[in-house]
Amino acid sequence: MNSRDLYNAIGKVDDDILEKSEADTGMSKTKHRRLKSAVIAASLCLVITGVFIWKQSTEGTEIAGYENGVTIPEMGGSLSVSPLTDMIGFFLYQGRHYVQYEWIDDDADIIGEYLGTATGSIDEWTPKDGYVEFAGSVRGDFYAVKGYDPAFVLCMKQSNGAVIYICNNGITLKYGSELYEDRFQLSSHLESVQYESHDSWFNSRGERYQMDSVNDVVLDFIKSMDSARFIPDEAVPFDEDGIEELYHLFFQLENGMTVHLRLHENGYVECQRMWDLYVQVPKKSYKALKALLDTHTGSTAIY
Amino acid sequence: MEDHQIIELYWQKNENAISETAGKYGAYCFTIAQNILHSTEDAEECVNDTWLHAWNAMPPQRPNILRIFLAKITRNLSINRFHAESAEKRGGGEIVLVLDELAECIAGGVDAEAAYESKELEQCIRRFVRALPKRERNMFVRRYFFTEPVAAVAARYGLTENNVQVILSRTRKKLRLVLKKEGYL
Repeated sequence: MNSRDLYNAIGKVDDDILEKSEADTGMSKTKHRRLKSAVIAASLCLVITGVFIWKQSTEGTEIAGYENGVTIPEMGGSLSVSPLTDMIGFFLYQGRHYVQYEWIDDDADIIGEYLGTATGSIDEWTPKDGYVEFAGSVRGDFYAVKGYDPAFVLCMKQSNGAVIYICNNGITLKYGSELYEDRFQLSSHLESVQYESHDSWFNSRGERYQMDSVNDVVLDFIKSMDSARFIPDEAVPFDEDGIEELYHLFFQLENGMTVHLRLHENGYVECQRMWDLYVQVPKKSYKALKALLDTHTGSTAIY
Repeated sequence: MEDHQIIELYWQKNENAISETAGKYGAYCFTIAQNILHSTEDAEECVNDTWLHAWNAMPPQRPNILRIFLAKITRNLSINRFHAESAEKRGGGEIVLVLDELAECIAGGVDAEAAYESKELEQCIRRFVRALPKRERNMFVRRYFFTEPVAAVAARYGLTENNVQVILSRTRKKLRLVLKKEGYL
């Protein structure tokens, strides 16, 4: 084996890992350092006050201890660090960063009130002061999504569908219900469930199954997710226990939106686009769902 | 145009697929190729070859993340092109440093030429990268997948280049231990 073999093997790292690494702008760290530097300077003048300010101002810039919830730092910063980041579809509205979540082919009845027009004025060369209201890497009119909180989800019309944007940063989440119910309204809008093994998803085989109904096992699983606490990925024992991803779950809502979940061993669940946040469902709920998925009980292949 | 629409164009064998891909991902793929090849002309050729490979791959493939799919093709083509000519002729570049750093992971290994299955090695690396703490993992990927210069990684994370080198060095040591444990060294 030589270094080229190793380099080639690194080229086969899972797509989701590459996508996450690429999406990590590292900005929270930069912000943290800037704040820290500013405070160190201030502390030369007034040590006690300086320390106090540092403690206050750095709160929430990193993923914090999760007893009181997990804070996802604001995207913030500039994309100018690397041209590799210029593909993140996002725009700013009311001080929040909305990032592209999914495409919906049929925009039948989700478009709500017109809220503004994103200018698409940001690229990798845009300085920090270009990150103003309505700026972003995409352009177009954006709207509320009917029945949903515009602080979480917005959409843009397209010729034959709509693109959903969510605010997945600058928020603190403690329990699953704060994401799945308060934001996605999963239980009240769930229409159908599809799933695909990680192996099929990873190799783009598209071997997807649809459950014949939203059965009790699924409802119990959602309930378990709702009541579980969020934990950051650092708290998931990927290393020691060799936790691996098993299934992709697609919870389809009545309005065409999909809550895309990744189910890992031992009941760890991650929501697509809410990177690095997990809930762990109790063993009983996890095993019951996994048994259905493993055997395709009550499901029909749709590929 | 959305990625799934571009993929659909490939599946329909519609030639607009290539112009749409080039428009959306041209600069992105060029950066990856340029990091490896250190030559504008060669990088441009690799990017053009990427579209051809994508055209041949879809169908049957239907990538979930088009951007990463293209990144992998560009990276493979670029490293192959790099090895087709000597490093001396090419004048070095980031890839020379990256390969030197990776060589540390396998240096002095007993029976380094022992037969191994590349698929098994790939699995081993995938598990290793997935298990790394977030920041280490992201730095490792930026350096050894995207072949980003250390200075760019340092700027992204608000660290000094020396700090980044230390973090990468520790990660490489971890990788070396894993490779040893799994019998590759």
